[in-house]
Amino acid sequence: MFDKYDFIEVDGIDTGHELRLFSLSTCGYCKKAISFLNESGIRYSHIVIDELPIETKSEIKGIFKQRFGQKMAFPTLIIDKDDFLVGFIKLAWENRFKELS
Amino acid sequence: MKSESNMELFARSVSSKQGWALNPDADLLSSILSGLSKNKERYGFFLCPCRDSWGDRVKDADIKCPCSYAKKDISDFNRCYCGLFVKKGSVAEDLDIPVPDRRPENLYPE
Repeated sequence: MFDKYDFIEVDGIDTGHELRLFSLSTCGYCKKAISFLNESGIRYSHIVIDELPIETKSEIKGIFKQRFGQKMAFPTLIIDKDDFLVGFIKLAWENRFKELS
Repeated sequence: MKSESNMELFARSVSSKQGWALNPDADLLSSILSGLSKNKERYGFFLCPCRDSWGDRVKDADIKCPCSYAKKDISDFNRCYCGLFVKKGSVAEDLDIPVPDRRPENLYPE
């Protein structure tokens, strides 16, 4: 779905799931999501939306809207192309990651 | 870049005037203020650090901090969308709930 874009690959434990994080460089909850993922030690990839060219940003947002039927908000973590978490609520993320492991 | 201490002065001034408080999570507060400062530097005004935007003072007037949606969000969800301003007396547990984005979708860039 987003294979053609340059994600930052963060190495770690392979959960067997594809985890792609979309964030804004200015967003406090995005930073919390990044900290959560890094502290978990799992592998994920990451793209900072507001640091992309406008056309690329628009493309990505358009793909997300087409796939999931809603506009992209931040942070968004797409899980295996089928599911996603939006916003960072620690308990929600902890529960979701327990299901993934 | 406007220093974080100046940003905190700005935030405290707004919160005092509106009867709000600043987020009690010190790390989160620091991140949010840093984000606001970055937006001030790159766009010239205090654009909400948690929203996609045009980066345009006119098109993004509603999400210039404090945003047009903050009052209702704080009333309903104890915090504004980005988490900078919170209801007075809020503790961490009160704030760990999702805040839906009230901004109409048609105001966002494609």
